[in-house]
Amino acid sequence: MSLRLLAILAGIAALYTLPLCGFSEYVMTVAVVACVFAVLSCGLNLVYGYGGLLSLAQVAFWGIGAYTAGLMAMDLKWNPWATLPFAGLLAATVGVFVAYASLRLSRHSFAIVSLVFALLMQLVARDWVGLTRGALGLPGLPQLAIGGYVFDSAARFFWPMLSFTLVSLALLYRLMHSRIGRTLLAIRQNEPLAQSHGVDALAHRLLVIGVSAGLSGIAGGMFVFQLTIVDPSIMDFYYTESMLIMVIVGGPGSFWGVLGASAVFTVLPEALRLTPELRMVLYGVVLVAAMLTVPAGFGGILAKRRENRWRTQLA
Amino acid sequence: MSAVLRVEHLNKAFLGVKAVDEVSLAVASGEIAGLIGPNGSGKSTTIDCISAFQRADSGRWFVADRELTGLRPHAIARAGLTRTFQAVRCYDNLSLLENLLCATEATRPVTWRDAYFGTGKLKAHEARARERGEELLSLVGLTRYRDAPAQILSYGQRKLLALAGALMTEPKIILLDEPVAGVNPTMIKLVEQAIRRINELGIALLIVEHNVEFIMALCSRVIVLDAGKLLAEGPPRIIREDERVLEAYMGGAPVEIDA
Repeated sequence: MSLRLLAILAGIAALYTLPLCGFSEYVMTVAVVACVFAVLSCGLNLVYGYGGLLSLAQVAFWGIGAYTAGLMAMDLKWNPWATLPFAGLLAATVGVFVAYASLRLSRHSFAIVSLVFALLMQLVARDWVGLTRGALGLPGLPQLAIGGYVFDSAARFFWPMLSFTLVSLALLYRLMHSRIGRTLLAIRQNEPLAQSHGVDALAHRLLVIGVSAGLSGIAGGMFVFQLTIVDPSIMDFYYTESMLIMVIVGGPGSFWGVLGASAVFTVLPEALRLTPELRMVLYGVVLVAAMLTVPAGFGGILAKRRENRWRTQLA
Repeated sequence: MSAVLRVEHLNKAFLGVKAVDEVSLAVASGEIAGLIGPNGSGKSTTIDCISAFQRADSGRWFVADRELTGLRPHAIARAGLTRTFQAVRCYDNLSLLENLLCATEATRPVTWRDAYFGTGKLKAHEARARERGEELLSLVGLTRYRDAPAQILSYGQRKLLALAGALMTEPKIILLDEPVAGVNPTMIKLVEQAIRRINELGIALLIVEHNVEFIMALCSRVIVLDAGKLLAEGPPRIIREDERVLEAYMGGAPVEIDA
């Protein structure tokens, strides 16, 4: 057990030295995006894999965070750091509100409402020109800095991004492996039974939506200070599809499975030098193939093996 | 007699068809009561309404004099009334012991903060719950499968696990929705035995069941519904010979069936 902890610490230390290894700006940008997707997909894993809610609105929460941070830094001239808590808070509040409204019906209606909400936010970003500047977006955003040290390259920006990612992942890991996580699994597997056991399913679901929307919002807020621009493409469906494929191939409910898949599906398309259009097609194919062959993802294969072991043992 | 469950003037209609029509009933503490009636007489709807899995149109109900009308299902479980389901339900991927630990949520053992950080208070609670869970697994005879995922259990064994889960909520009364439907005769004996043991702990039970022999053997009092209305109630001996009941079941002439 402590050996595993040691391995994780060594891995983290190695990640922190990555910017010092002289990799190109391009490679470091991929590393930053990998961090972003780790937060986004693990957040979706909490909502879908533990909460049992198919949320297609994660991209909207991330976009709300991005715009909140961008607008506060641009229009209110706030320090970029100070905008981040508000980016997270607003995304979480909106997430809980949307979830509360739609979960009054059923968790299926939540999936549909979340999709509609994501599309709606895209429209707002594009058409509420007075606030968001429409399709032109907000160019020339400031960058994150500590004292005089500006995180002005992907290599430098990697440090704060990695730090936030690790904190988020630790928070999510703790949540998933706490009593709350176990209760969430119970709700996901059998909601009426959980209710008959005194579990407040609605409160648990609002919690997971709030947490994942908040983390996605902060991630979005941070990321725009690396891009130095925020425009409606931040809410592109591409992000939703990427998150979904990472969670489904990784195995909903499996922390390490999803984390691994998020790294693979960020790096692999870059390594294969695919155009974004071809990438979408390929992702679609992988998604369908995964649903057909390993519906529970790689995490599910492990669970199946456990079940079979018990069957032979007790037979 | 002090009633642990009291239901007053319960009504539930589906598109104008009255599934439950002005039903009032009570279950005394420590009692095993049966709720029977022909298909479509409103038995399951009645307990669905009491446990809030369906919304009653009108009526009030109380557990140990605390009113539960209008509460959500989890709040009702916390107040001391839990239920099992006709199509038996388990947390399939969780081990049997974990299945039982999840059910302690009804006793509201810890705060969100304790649950997240795994504080000493949580650990102490989990240790106690684990002990209780193992006791209950041995009570229903499933100790052997303690760490196995629930999905490997047979149908009847799942019914037994559901009973143990209901007990973990520390209920005052359990509503059982067809506990032996589709269960083989040997397993029926085990379920019957488990129910008796639960009752010996001082917990009242209200059993909906089609297997009349099972009801007659277990219950001290039987309540009969027909077409949503309360038809008769009394000890099994009396109910067995009640003409209205025979008519509802057999459609008229009393039929004597020789064994």
